[in-house]
Parts: sequence; C-alpha cells; structure tokens
Amino acid sequence: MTADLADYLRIEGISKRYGEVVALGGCSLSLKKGELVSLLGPSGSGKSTLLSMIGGLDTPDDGEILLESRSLLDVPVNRRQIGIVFQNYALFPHMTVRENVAYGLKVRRESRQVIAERCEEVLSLLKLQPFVDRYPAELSGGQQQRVAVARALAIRPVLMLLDEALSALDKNLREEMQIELSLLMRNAGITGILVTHDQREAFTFGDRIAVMNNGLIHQVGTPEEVYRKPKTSFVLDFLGSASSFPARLESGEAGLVAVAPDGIRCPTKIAGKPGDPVTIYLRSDSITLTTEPTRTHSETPGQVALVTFLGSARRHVVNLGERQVLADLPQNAMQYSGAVYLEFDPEHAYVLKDDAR
Amino acid sequence: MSAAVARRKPRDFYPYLLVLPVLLVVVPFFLLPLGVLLRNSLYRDDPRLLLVPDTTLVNYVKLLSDSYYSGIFLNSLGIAFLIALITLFIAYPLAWYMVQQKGRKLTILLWCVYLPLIVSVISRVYGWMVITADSGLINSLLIWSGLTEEPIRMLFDPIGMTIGMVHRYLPLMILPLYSALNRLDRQVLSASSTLGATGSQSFFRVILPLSLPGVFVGVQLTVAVVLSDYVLPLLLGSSRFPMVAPAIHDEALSMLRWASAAAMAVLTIVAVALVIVASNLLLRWLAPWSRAK
Repeated sequence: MTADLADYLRIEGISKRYGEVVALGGCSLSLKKGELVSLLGPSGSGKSTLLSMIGGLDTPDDGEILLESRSLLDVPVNRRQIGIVFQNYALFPHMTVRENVAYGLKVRRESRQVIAERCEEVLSLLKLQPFVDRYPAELSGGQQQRVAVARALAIRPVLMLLDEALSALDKNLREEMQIELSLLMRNAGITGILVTHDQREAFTFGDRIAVMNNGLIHQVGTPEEVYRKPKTSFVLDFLGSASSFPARLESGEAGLVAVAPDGIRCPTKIAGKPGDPVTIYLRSDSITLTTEPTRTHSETPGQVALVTFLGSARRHVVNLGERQVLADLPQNAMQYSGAVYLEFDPEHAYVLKDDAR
Repeated sequence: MSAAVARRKPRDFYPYLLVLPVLLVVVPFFLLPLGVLLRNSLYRDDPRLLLVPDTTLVNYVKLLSDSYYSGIFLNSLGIAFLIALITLFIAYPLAWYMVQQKGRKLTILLWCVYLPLIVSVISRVYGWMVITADSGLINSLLIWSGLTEEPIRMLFDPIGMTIGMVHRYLPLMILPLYSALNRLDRQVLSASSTLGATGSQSFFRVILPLSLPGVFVGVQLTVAVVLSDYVLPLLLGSSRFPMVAPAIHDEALSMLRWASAAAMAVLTIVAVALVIVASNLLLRWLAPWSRAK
C-alpha cells in the first residue's frame, strides 16, 4: 500500500482475535477528509469491532490506525475526540437533552460561554430546541437519535463513527434520518464511518462502501462499483438476491463459456481453462422469462412455482431442476406460468471462480 | 350507571381474593398490635396499678425532654447512620467489582453475600465475641505485634457492636447497590469516555449519580434494621451506650413502664418513617430523572 498524503484516516492491517475466534483478519481502509464511508456487512462480520478499534474502545492485536499520519492507537479513548453514535444511543438517562449535549464540553472544562454557544448551535442544527429540558426517557426514538448525534457533534469531532445508529428506528423515520444525516455530515464537512447491515442505508449514506464478512473487507468502492462489479461471491450475494448455478468452463466460439446443467450458458471473460469449476450468479432483476428456448437457456425449461407482487416488480419463483431461481419482472410486464426459459444479458451475469471468497 | 353495576359479575372480585391470605396475617398479627401499641402509648404508667387508661401525651413529652431517653434515640440514630456510611464505603467497590463478573465467579460472589444471611445471627455473634474479646484474635495480634501493650476494649462496647453490625448488615447494602450498578448500561460509560471524560469524571458524573437510587435504598434498609436491632446491642454492646430496642425491652419488662415503652416503640417507628420519607424527598431532589421513566 502506497502512502497517500491525501489520506485523512488510514487503517492498516488491523487484526483481532478473541481466543480462537478471529474477529478481524487484517483490515485496511483509507478515508479522505470529509469522506463518508459505509461499513456494510452481516452481523458478526467484524464491522462493529473495527469501529470500536477506531473509536478507542477496543485495541487491535496488530495493525495501525493513522489520523493525519499520526497513530491513534497510543491516544487514550478520552483524548481521541472521535464522536461515536451508539446503536442504542447510550444517552445519559440522568441528564436532560441540553446536559447530554453539553457533557463532552463540560468534561473538557470549556468556558460557560463556549458551552452555551456550541450547545445552541448543535441543538438548532438537529431541531432539538423544543426538548432541551426533557430527559431521554421522555423522548421518542427519533428524538433520542438526534440527541445522540448532537452530543457527538458538540465536541467538534475529528471523525464521526455511527454504529448501526439508525437501525432501532421505524422504517420511514430511518429513511428520513439516513438522508438527513448524510446531508448534515456533508454540509459540516465531517469525515464519517457508518456501520450498517442494511444495503440501502449504506448506499444512501456513504460516498464509498466497504463490504465486510468474516472479519475481512471484501471490497471497497462506490455504491455503483460494489453493486455492478462485485469482486467476490459474498459481495455479489449480499448486495441483492442472486441465484447461483454451479457450472464448468468450456471453450466456445468467442472464448470461454460457463455451462451449467439444464442448458444454461454464459459467455465469460474470466481467466481460466476449460474444465474449471465456476459459479454463475444471476441477480433477480437481470433475469427475464420467455416461453421459447434462448441463447442463455436452451434445454430443460423451468416451472413457475409462485408469483408474488413486490410493488415495483413481480417476483417469479421458478423451479429449475433442484434449485429455485428468482426473477423480478417489471410490474407491468407479462405474468408467466407453466414452463419458462431464463433469458439474461451475459454482461449482467457474474461468473466467479469457486475459490474467490 | 345502575345497569353497569348490575352487570358486574361475582368473579370481578376474584382478584381481591389473592390479597386475602396476606390480609389474614397482617391485620390480626401486625396492624391490630400496632393499634394496641399506639393506644397504650397514650395511657399512663402507675407504680401500683401498672397501665392506667388515659389519653395523654405525657409519655412522649418525657421521651423528648428527658436527656436519658432522648440520648437513647440519638445513640441509635447516630449508630444507624454510621453503620450505613461504613457499609456504603465497603459495599460500593465490592458491588462494582461484582457487576464486572459473570458466570461461576459471580454466582460464588453472590453466595458469599447471601451466606451470612443464612447463618443464625447468634452463632455469628459468638464468632465476633471470640474475635473482639480482650484476649481475642484482634487484641492478641495487636499485642503480639507491639502496637499496644494493653488490650483495646472492643467487646461490650460500641466498637464491638459496630463491627458486628457492619458485618451483619453489609448484604443489605451490597444487594441494592449491585442491582443498581447492574442496571447501568455499559455503552453509557463508553459514551462518557469517548466524549472526553477521564475515569474519575465518568465515576462522579455518570456512575455515582446513576447508582444513587441504589445507595438510598441501601441506606434506608440499613438505618431501619439497625434502629430495631435487639440482639447485637444486647450481646456485643454496652449498657453505658443504650440502644433503643433493648431499652424498650428494659422499660417494659424490668421497669414495668408499659405506656412509656409503647411510646418509645411508636417513636422508633416514626423515626424510621421520617428517615425514609426524608431520604426519598432528598433523592427526588438529587435525581429528578429517576421519576422520568
């Protein structure tokens, strides 16, 4: 990894084990100043552990975390000046909204005037003025969330870490807050990392997405990159439901073709030789159905087992051999039944070697 | 309205049946004697006729004005708060330590707290006698190490009584503290340190205030039981430092002043009630948030 002077935060090869369990297996990630990155992964993927290392609540076994080229690991947690928004908000139940927000400034022994000004600023930014004298127990979930963000912002953090900060909210409120938080952090020019298991949340918040699984960062890129060009089968599968077909490489007229049972064929540019085991992945939104054999599916047809209405699409569940294939057709398209063939653009299919995990 | 009343079925009263067993015990064996006590406290003591029916506050006036009697109450209250304070300082660090533990270690620690409650207080008193006597363990060690030449008087003295009471009532302080500290969300402490607080700032601004309800329960319990303790003052204490429970016993059975003894008992109950009400008011003022839930 080359040293990039423009990197604001650099995480290099962070690893951590708890006894036999490897929580983090060497994670590296860089952020530019003002950049927002979403750490996306299922629960247990190590994303929250990585976040607590950055925040100073846990120490890595190995690796380095640099902020503006200075190591953070030697800095005790209370000196790091990193704002953390916890999943359950962790508000001080014995303090009012205003006292919660002022806490970080009080323990830093800021002057009364600074405390009052800074509180006013973040309280109005998060539209909390009507609630300043209430206790957390007297607030709704959304309001508590705002207090947690305000409290972290009040210390003028060098970095904001949000640990599943929105997942306790109702769906509508959550989507509203995703946009609001993202805008707020962008306007304030704050560098931030959001940990989430929700793809939409990750995409809404982050300039870039780091997809994690089993203590490893699988891929880092813009939302479009990780969605369109997944590097591993995990990334592919985690970002949108995909059907998989075990296949073997064969040579065709214009290069290699991945061939799966039932006559499913997908030309590919993958590096490999005929006979190599591979897997073809098809996202449900890139499959269409026809009643006639196609270039991509020519032998045994599948049977439509179920059609469900998803609002924007009709999901067809197709039984093909022993597997189930999901195909989301546009809501206004034809509804199929009986025997069908799969049609897909090989450009939108993914052929990955079986060891690419 | 009458229609609604008419529709009330007999089984609407079934829930009240659940309270019945308690009422059967509490009314005849607690509330009734308490009423008798209250009535007796307004009677008059007579050397020949013993308890003479009357309605007078003379007993209460005597208790509050006679320095012998008011001294007994001051002794008891003073010791009660002293014990509460000592147990608080011993119990708080232990409770905090216990909160960090889990699994088998926590079970063992909790049993260590419960166990003294199971062992009869009399056997523990004799244990403390062996330890605090003039020729007991503590004094032998002090003399052997050359710290003193003469044994220090502990047994049959407020010191020995205090040691015994601290030991006896420690669990009553540990358990409410443990449960209060256990309810404290660890993330809140993480939040405190990420916001810049040092360890001691986190303790004084977050842990201590959040554990105040537990502290108050512990103090209330300890003060109440010390005020009504009879065995330890009798067996470990000294008659030169009279405590209220043995004093009531003496007043009734040795001096045969039943009305006066009844008034002392009523006053003790009032004192305990006052301590509880006053400390609840204090807590409400110190921790207004605890009622927000």
